[in-house]
Amino acid sequence: MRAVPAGGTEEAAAEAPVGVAAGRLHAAAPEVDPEERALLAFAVAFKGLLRGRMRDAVCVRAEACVARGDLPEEALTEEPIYRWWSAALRAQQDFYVDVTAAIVDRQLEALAATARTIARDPGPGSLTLDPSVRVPTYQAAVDIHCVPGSYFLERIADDVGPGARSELGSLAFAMGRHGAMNEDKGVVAAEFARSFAPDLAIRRILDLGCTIGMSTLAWCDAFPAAEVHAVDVSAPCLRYGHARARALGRCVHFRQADAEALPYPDGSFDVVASHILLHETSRAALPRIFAECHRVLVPGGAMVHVEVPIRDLDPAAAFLARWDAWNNNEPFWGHLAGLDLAGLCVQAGFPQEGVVETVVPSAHQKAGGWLVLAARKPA
Amino acid sequence: MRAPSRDARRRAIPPRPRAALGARPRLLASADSEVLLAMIVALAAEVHRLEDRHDRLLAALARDGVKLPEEAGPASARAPRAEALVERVFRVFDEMAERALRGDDEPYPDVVDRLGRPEGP
Repeated sequence: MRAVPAGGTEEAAAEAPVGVAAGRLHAAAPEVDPEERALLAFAVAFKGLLRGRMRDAVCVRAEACVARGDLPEEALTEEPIYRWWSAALRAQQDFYVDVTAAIVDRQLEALAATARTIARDPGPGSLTLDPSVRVPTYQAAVDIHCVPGSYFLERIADDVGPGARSELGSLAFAMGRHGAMNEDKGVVAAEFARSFAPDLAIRRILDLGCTIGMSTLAWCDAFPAAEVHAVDVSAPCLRYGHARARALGRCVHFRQADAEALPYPDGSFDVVASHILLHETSRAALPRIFAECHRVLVPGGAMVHVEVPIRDLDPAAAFLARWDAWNNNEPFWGHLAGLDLAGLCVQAGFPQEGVVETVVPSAHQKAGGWLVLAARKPA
Repeated sequence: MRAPSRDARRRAIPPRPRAALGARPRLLASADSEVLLAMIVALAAEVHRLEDRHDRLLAALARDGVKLPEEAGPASARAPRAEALVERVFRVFDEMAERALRGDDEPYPDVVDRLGRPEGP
């Protein structure tokens, strides 16, 4: 059973219909006052309209386009319902991003000070930053998810702002459907790893592109005896993630590193995982990331990537699934849907027969489940 | 020497950027309409914030034993306020969805024409 921090904040988050409770999620988290929570509740209610009946109607129109033999890309974009739905969805995205950024902004220095204190105090896990790590070009090309400054904005010493905003934003975005602490992807990945490699003694785990470690902590819970490591290129997110993990009583070794050039010796980990990292990379980066996964795995080790299920969809669903690629600054999302991922795994050294690509259900209420790409290094 | 005030320290922090890097897609026929839509969304959210504040004030008064007028409503009725506001402000989206779901898109002049034909219904 997972440790619940003092104050029962995980329960508070679980009860919050908007995914973000008023107050503080944990000791390192931004405080959300009741007025800010009201704004987030509005954002979530608005998203509920757009992701509910309006999306259903857009789906029906997209299917009608396909049935007529029209390309949704051409025909649907002329229809008012699609245009207004898209414009409203983008306006909703901009709105909740701005609200969450403002919440963090008003307490930016206090959040940095809290994270600094938590990091200085004795506690589990570690944080290793490396200023020589560069933001990959695929992350620098646009601000992912239309968040101004993305994951890398640093305005004060020891800034944790992008990490804190990421936590609030993720919870509001998921509307509580990805778990009280947005841990769904990690729970799914850990459960999958256990069944995918039942003979594997999982003692050392690496999470790639961990952001603030929301999925990472699920690995701590699933394998409490294992040593859990997590890397990301964003220093503000790692600072926040380290403080967050400690505040929630989990032991994670965070390190600033690029998934294309991992600072670990060959054969360091039993499992290498990622959680919706792949669609935020690039065509050129993927083979290098898979090759690094292969290199740092022990013989017999398992690679488990969890992704948004955007592959093998019918044309109408595929068109709608690409909405984020075109309108929410996810430039590689659409490309990933068409890639031979299994082929790239084989190219990286994983045997073809050991590569699995499947869709698994959410451990919470996330509709459509998750795509899992997994492979094992020969023993 | 006095320590800088909290406001002065805040002013020393560079302002957060407001525009995400990456060209904005144009989704409606007019970019101006998208600007107005963004303002409407923000204003509707402000209305909800004020409604929520009003509710919390009423709840505080009730806790203090102040007898409230009936129209203030019980606390249980306040829960779906955000959804109700969204439904009212964006009613037109619901209308669009309903029409699209039932395929109600025959142009009205066509209906007039169809009903006027001798061989029509």
